[in-house]
Amino acid sequence: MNRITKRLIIKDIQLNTIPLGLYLLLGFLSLWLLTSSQLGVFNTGAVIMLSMVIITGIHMITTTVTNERSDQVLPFIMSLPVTFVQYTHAKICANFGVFLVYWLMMLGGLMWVIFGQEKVPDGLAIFTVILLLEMLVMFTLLLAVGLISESQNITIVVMSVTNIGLSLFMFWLSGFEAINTYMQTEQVVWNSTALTFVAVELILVVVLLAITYVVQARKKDFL
Amino acid sequence: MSDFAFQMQHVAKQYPHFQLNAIDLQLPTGGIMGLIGPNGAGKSTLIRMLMGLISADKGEIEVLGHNIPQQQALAKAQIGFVSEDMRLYKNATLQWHMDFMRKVFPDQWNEKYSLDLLSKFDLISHQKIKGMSHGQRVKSSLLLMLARQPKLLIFDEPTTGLDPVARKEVLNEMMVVLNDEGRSILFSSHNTQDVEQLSDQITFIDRGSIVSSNDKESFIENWRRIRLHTTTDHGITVGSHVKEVITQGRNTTLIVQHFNEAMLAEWTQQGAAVQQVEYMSLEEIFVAEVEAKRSGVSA
Repeated sequence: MNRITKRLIIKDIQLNTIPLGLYLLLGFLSLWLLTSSQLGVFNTGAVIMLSMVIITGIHMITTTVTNERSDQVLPFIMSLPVTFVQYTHAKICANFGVFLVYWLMMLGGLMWVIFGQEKVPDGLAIFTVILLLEMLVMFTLLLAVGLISESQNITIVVMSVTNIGLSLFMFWLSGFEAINTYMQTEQVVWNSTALTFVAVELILVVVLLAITYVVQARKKDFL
Repeated sequence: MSDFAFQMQHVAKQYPHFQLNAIDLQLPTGGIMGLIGPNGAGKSTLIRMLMGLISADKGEIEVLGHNIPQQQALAKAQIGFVSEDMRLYKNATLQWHMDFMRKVFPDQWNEKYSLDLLSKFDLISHQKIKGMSHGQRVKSSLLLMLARQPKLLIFDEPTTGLDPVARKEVLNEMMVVLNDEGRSILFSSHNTQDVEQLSDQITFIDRGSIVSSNDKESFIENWRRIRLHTTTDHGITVGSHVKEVITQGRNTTLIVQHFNEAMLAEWTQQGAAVQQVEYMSLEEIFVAEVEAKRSGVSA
């Protein structure tokens, strides 16, 4: 990675420090709420947690990819000594890096809540990991669409569809007997169904990133 | 080192409703080229090709000795680019942008020059871009571009939308830059006055084709507006070098390309009295060149 690509990554993070800090605080607040013994507070914490993971991803993609184009800042960035592929690489590193750090912190926090709280069944860990991985897949899809389509409208449509899709995914996932049987128990069972979900989700992340690089590298016109 | 800041050879680009046709254009190192064309003529497409932002379907492009788009990063390290549609990060201050550029170009950034420009352009470094007027934003972009002292400066309609004061400030600073003979400049505009003021070489572009490209003096010397008064009812005969004839009674105005004194003698022999021979403005020459080219194409 060359010096200017690194500078572009730092720039994207720098420009979003304040909102990212706020989302992190709200994420920690949601973890604290999840430690509550009251069901209402616990559910509020869960909603805030999921919302913050989604919002962090959307915020990064919106401000660093789609807005940069719609606000006509792209000619300024592309006047710097970078190629399309280096630009794409910088965007993927900045977005994926920031989201992954946030995602890992929230995943770690949730595991702490699940395994550290008596009232929360340990078996919920499998469902949580698969659900958070699905959010990682959706974020990667959104990032790929934002970069490849270069369209704010298309990205917003995909954003809406993925958010609806996440709710449907939760219902669909909890419908699997191999998953829901252990959700309310103290057993953490990585059966073949759970492992298949994890494997497919990880493969999807890699494939989406690879597609993004390939398509961007083949583009002839960038502005 | 290449003798040319850039060279375009047989460059073509096809879009569904527009095409750039076999462009052959070159700017010698240290030259200042004004690119004049109406809206939609292909000026921005041509410039974006030079920047490597759009790939040509055919032809070769070389900028500062580097093949474009393959070596665009190497070329862009020495290109300063400002366009009318370029914006900076609205929520960041000008100082943030200056710090960013200093880090991107640590060896090229001239801090003292950047502060001089800040003062000359009457800009406030800690002001956010979103709070600036259009003129201040253009001047900020110009500051960021000039302070890194690129070898080739490309301006795409930089004065569009500026008020007269801001326009003069921008043009004045561009003229200061022109004193550095090592720098080459490509300056596109549909404002012929700005181009005339700055450029030593002029290129007219229309409907995706180069209409003509020459040094400014040659254009000015080539064209004349001639006012004649005919003493007979018979008109005068004109050759192909006369691009436009406007007749009002016995008064005739001719727009002439490739002017020479022999033409006047010829019309005098035909019974016309030469009342006035005028130089034409660059704008008039541009319109005449474009109309001549268009009528030639349609003939």
